[in-house]
Amino acid sequence: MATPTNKPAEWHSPHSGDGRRTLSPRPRVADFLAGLTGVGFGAVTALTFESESSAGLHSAGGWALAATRLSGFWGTYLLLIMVLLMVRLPWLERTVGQDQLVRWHRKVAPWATSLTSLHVLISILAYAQMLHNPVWSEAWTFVLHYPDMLAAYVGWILLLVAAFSSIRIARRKMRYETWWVVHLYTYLGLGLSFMHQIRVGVMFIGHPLTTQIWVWTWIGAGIVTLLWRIALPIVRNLQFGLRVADITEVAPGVRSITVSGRHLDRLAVNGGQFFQWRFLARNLWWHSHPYSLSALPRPPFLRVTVKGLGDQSTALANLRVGTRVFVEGPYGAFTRHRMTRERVVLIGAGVGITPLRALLEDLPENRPVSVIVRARNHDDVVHGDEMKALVEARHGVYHELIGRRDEVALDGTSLNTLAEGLSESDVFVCGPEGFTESVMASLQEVGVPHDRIHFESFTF
Amino acid sequence: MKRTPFVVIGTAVGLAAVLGFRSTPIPLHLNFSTATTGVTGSTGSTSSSSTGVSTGLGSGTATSPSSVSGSTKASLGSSTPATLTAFRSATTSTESVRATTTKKKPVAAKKPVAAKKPVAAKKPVAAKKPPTVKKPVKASPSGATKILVGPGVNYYYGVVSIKVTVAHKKISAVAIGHITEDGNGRSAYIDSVALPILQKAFVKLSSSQQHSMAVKGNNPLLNLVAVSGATYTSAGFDVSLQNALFTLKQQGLF
Repeated sequence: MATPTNKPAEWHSPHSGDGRRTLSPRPRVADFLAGLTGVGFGAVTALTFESESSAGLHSAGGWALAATRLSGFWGTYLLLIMVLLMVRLPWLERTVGQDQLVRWHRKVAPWATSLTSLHVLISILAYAQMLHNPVWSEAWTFVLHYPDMLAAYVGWILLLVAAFSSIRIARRKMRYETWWVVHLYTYLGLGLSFMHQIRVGVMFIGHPLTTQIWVWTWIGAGIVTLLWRIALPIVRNLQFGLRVADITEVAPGVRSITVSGRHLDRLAVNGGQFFQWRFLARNLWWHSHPYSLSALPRPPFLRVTVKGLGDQSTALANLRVGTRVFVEGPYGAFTRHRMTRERVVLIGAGVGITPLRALLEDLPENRPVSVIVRARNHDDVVHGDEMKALVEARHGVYHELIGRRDEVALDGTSLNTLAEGLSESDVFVCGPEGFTESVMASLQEVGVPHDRIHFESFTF
Repeated sequence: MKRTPFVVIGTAVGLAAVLGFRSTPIPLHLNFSTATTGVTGSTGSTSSSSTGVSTGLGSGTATSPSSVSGSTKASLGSSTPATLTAFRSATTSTESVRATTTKKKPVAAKKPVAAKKPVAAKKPVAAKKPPTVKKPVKASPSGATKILVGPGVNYYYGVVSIKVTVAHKKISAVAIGHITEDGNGRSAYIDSVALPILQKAFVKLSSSQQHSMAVKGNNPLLNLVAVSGATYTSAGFDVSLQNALFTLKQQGLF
């Protein structure tokens, strides 16, 4: 094997950081893209309004047809935005953060789904009204007489299935893989519904320029998706050729996985960012997980620290040294670039300590830092000794809170006591959902403004 | 959210840009080449056959279709609005030809003769070509009554020309002079419903003394009468009819 497999011993020592490539956020890009989203929405709305005439509106079914055009165009545009939010655009990923992008995606989803559904239903009603046909026969006529319409119906159904599978209740009962495959079909659904838009849509017929713009917008979205979601990771992984180099249990049920690869010095990553990890072993290769790096890279090595849950823990236990690894990333905006103040406070619990461990290493020198970690037992503190060493090297303050949640509460008063100058600090919080929520509440109680509390949620 | 203002401002910009850029007249490309004129000369095969598909669709007042099937060709010349560009003329005559022989149900007169391409994807092939128009003028014996068939207008789902009858400078009847469909049975059906509505709407409009609108200026008004869901059929109807009225106005008959 070309890549070295010996375990590096220097995870404990602070990283020199010399010559390492870093990634800074691009807030202007995000602003521009937000503006562009608005421009598209305005244009779509204007195009729809322009294709109406007062004579047309006042004819039979006129208002219903106007409604169906607007809902269809709006719904499709929002679907486009949903696709683009998930494109893994690097600048957006490290500026906004994937958790926020996913949150927006989920916020837009109900609108997109209901608007497209309204479009389907109203169009049937409108044509039935206009042509004085019974509704059911009209629905059937649509399928039979417009070749593109049958495809559009199928596309809509694929979209609905994905939408229902993403409702929280259904999502919990479903295996991740099933949900993922169903979601993959939405791309097919979007493709199937495309032709009817430009061949029946009033705003496109006879408007070659509008049609060209719309067609190229979608082709562009497709290209961008292929580039960043598929091509870039493949190229990167061919370059890196990652393999598992070492697996160590660092706390009960928690393992550090060290991988080694080529050219990792070229990898630009910030402490606190994560990759999607895919271990190419039997039972594991078809499932990817978001794991944060638990230390800055030390080429040729990368390290993640993972708490296996359910099926995965047993599978990960069987993971062998030498297994190939496929990563996508780095993603996430939980980095030092979020900082706006001099002082930094890191608060973590459970396996959520791992990104804080990498973030701590990545913080600029001479920053006053306080670290608070919480665990049931001392042994459960993931990388506690490394954290302690790093904090000491920076002359910071390190607190381990050991005990059950009700015994050692992290309320506002205790936070204030533990972290000096808390209200004038940037606070990074990472841990289980309940922990993060309670800490955030305590922080707000103490008066830390919202834009200085930084967190990342992994519960997608 | 922090970036909401960007989205909002962007929306305003998008709205303003499109409304400004696509202000009236709507750049709807309509074609004056009918299936019978064979403007490009590329296909002569359908030009003779399509003369027989003139219909009296949905019209009680129309004279027999055969009376308008003459192949007289004339140029409308300067009276043709310059904003209307010839569009899709090369392909027009290769489209399949359909005739509507009954009031409600379109029946295919012919099978599609050529492979059909997506309508919207077609580019204007012969912009600025001086439009040619079929203008069979049939003066009735009385002299005061005149029947004129307007130019065939390509409305993206086919070509339609409207026949108008004027008597004593008033519209007495509006009928379909000629219609060819693109071979999409669905749009033929929509047309068969929409066209009688348009006819009635226009007769109503002309009786309410608003018909002067139809010949105001030199450009036909799109959506003078319209049926939603048949937007382009309506536009084709309007343009053909108004062009016929322009000609009649020049002749002092309207």
